[in-house]
Amino acid sequence: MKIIDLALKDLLRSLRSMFLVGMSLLAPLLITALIFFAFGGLGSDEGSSDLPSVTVGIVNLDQPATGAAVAIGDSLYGMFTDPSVSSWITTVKYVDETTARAALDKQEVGALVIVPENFSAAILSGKAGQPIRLLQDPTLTISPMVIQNMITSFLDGITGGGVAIQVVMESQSARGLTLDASGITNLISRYQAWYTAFQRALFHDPQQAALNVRTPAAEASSESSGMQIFSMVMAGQMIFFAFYTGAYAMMSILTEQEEGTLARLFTTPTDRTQILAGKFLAVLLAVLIQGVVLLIAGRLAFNSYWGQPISMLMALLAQVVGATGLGVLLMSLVKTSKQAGPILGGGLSAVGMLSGLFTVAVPNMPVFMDTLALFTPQGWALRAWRLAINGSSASELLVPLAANLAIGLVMFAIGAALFRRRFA
Amino acid sequence: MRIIDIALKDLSQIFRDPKLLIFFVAMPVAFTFFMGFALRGTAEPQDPRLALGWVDQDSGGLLSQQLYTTLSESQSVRLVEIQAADADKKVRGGDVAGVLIVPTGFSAGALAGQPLQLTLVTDSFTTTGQSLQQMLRTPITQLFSSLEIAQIDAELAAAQAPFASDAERQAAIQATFQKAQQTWTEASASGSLLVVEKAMSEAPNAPLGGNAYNQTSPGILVQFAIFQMFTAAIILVQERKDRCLQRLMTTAMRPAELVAGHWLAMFVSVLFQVAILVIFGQLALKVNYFHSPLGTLLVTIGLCLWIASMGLLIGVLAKSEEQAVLFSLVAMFVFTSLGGAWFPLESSGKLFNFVGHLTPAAWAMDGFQNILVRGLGASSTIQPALILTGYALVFFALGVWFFRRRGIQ
Amino acid sequence: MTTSYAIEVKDLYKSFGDLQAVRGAQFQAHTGEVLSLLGPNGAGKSTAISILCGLLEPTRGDALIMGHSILSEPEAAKACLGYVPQDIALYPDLSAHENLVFWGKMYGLRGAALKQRVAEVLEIIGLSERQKDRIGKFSGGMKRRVNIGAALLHKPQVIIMDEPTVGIDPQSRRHILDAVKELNRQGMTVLYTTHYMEEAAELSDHIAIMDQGQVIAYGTHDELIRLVGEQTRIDLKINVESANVLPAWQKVEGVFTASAQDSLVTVLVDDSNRVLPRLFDAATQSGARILSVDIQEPDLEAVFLHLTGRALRD
Repeated sequence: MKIIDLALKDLLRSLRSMFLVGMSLLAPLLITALIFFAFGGLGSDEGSSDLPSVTVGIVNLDQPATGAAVAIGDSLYGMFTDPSVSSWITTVKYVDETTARAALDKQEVGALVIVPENFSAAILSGKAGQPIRLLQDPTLTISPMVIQNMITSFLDGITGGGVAIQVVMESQSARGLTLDASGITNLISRYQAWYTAFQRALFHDPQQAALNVRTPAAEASSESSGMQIFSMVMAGQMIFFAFYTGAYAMMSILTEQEEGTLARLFTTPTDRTQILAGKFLAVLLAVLIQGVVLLIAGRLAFNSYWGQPISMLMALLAQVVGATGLGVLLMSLVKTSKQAGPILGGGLSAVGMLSGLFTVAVPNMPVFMDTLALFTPQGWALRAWRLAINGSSASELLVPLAANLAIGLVMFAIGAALFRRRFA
Repeated sequence: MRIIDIALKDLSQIFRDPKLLIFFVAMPVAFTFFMGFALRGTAEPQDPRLALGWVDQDSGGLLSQQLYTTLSESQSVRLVEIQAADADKKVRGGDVAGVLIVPTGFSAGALAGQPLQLTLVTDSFTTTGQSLQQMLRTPITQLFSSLEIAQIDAELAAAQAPFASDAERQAAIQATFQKAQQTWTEASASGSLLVVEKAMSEAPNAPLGGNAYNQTSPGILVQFAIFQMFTAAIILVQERKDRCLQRLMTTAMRPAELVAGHWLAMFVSVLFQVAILVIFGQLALKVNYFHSPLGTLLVTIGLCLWIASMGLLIGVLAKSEEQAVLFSLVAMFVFTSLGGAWFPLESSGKLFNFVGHLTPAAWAMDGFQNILVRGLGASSTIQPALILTGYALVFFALGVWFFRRRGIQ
Repeated sequence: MTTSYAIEVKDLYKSFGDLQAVRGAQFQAHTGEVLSLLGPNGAGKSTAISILCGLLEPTRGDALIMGHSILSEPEAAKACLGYVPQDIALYPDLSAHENLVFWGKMYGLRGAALKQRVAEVLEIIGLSERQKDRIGKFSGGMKRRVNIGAALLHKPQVIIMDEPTVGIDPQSRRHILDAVKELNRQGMTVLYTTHYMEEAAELSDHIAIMDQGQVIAYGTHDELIRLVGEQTRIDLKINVESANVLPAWQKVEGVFTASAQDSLVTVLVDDSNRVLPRLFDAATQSGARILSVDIQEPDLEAVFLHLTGRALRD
């Protein structure tokens, strides 16, 4: 009974500590909210992400003679100013490259498209000419890539027309047939019509497109992949602050020692083992409460997806045991609350970094970093959450859970032994 | 002179604390290294080709064989043959970026004028998934383009001289199809109609200027410069708690001098840290801050002015050391995430981008990236530096106002 | 187990490395009395107290609290004991009520009994109206009252107070001394450590004088005074460094001991009327001028000086 009294007393003090409440709950929720705000729309079931606005500058130096059949520069300009894209592309026309470059340097546009002189004529003559140049702001990646894709698609249409003419003419010639001018024109028209319809279907009509894209987790989970990534980011934050909570809550033993209340406790008819057990229980409860509150808050506020119930509970258990164990061990190694500060701030941040808590959404991470994470309880906790959020069954979580339980319990045992030796 | 005395006293308290080395230097250096490592996969990909799972249920088909050949020779993707049943699991587990499934009867259907859909299984919310879609559109477009050309050709030929049989027609289509594919290949190899350049003369043609630390170094620098101000803010808190503030007020010291002295100590300590991290970035990480020394200095001074003023405000508002740490942490989280220190603002939505640029950290990042990634000179840093100074004045004014309101209690 | 001693300390030793903080200390407190443990700073009082309360283990020896050995029956001993530490040992972020409830539970009180006792203690310490306020917001005196209150919850038979009046204002000090008397009047045995002889003189039934880890004297106030016989204490303030005149005064007939601190010399004499003129002569011969003379009847200060050759005060 005294163990529970001691634990509840510590828990009450923890809940009254604005600092601990701030670090345990407000900080992870704040960071998650900021990320959610930044990338809002990840939760959409339609599967479309919100494109950032794109501003492109055009310098069209291609001025074919009046009445020429083809004016590629104008066509390109028309593509960027088409009403179907005007909601997300802003196009600015410049008279020369110098003016346009100045605008790019001032970040008034994200990319410049420069169509060289006689581009159309070179294409029609089949001779090699100057290529179209795309100059992009090096600090941007998404909008230049979008523009590049649009131009590539546009130019593919032109190249395709050339291929069509060449191949058909050669083929007809091999049969002893010829293709006159009207035949070529019809060929081009037919090919362009097909190409336009093909591209339209590819981009806008999944039922008719030659390539249908589907996401892999559609059967395992009802959540979109974007939400899964977001949930992983929140899980990373939750784990980091859970371990902070565990260590900070355990620091109460040092502050009690400095306040004098620990000595006073020792003068009461309360076994020292009970006193330590009460402290450990308080740490466990604090971490558990923190985890539960964040899971609920994440679900309600951000519609975070935590996996199937059993998997979620297993991941939570892994997190709680790991955080409690590490917290007890860390605080057993320091003598004063002042010493504990750098351990909390610096040590846990460093370990959290190595565990991959801050890079859950970064693609193409080096493989050795995944391996490194396996040496930390945070890394195993993250692994458990990754599996849970990806819709894995409980059996798949057994390994990370067992690893975290083992690491957590060993750390707890060592820390408890050190504390008993110190206060026995 | 008293201002200098106060500043020197504060600085001696800050720099004698052993925590200083950890929070000022060790942690930001470690974080910079780590995050740079993490992003190297993006900036300097060892093997930029994405792993693409290949499921061919149309075995032996002309089109599927042709597509396989084209993708095998691709510089963008690397084919990995897998079973259809494993497709989702492989993508979910990250073994492949996506799986392209060629359905049964794909070639026959396409040749008969009733093409079936190819299926790409991928996570379209990741940049990897989106990149994969872009990479596949060209070879697929060329494949179907060749087929269309072959069918047009067959129609034109049949109009002049009908084929003896359907088999003859199919043979003609297949031959023209292969010819068209070959022509496409030659057209692609003979030179692109599009050339992409970065608007910076020296940087290699790669994201982040080819150096992942171009993002992490200024990002971590801004983050930790904001965080470490708690060490200086705590001095103010302790001064009030120890009642030394009250004692100071019984001397000839004026409140303005006291505030100025504390602010000066904060400015110097932040400047010290930023200078160390800039030099570290320049020498160890090859982040070219010295491409424009004056520009870097302008941004640095603006950054330090702002952070010192914010630290002053925190030191005045906080009632305990813990509160000072908490306020500093909240400021760090809010400003660094909104300001593009954690991820480029370009990758977030319009509204977030707009809100982010209301914060000083975004201007600091812009200033640094103008120098590091865009290769611009000092003139490009004037606007960010001035904006940072403006924020500094606002925070300073708030700090002074609260200090006067709170008094010595 | 019935005993006439509430506290019995038997041949207690405590060493910290080479330092012997307590060397064979031996004293006892009768049930229902006030025993003061008097001695200068560093005498070993706090160490002895810490051993009695179970905070430290003795190197050798034992002590009994209401007949329970602190070594073999520590919990039973602690159950009889209430401890008031020198520094405030309370949770500043909990209210007075919450602190008392918690400490009551640590002493085994529960439910309605706990609730009632907490209310009683709040009345005793005069803080019923502030019970819901956090300790951190209390004045120093109020904190001390709660500090004492926390030791009374389980109605201990023995209460140990470790220098409770150090560093507080005279009014609060008065309150505490009155509180000690009241507790004793209610039947509690009080072990009170102090280095203020006047407190020991006022409160105690028995006094144990401790110095350098040993109990050098034990008895009632009158018994201890008689140790110095009819010695009278004279405090003389001189105008030069005492080193100039001390040797001469130590040789004056009728002087038992003479000790000095800066320009204040304390002399124990048999007859102040006869010895004082000799002291003046000796001073003159040594070139010293006596600035003030203070003659005091024998007191505990004198006792300590007699026993140790040093002043009780720092």
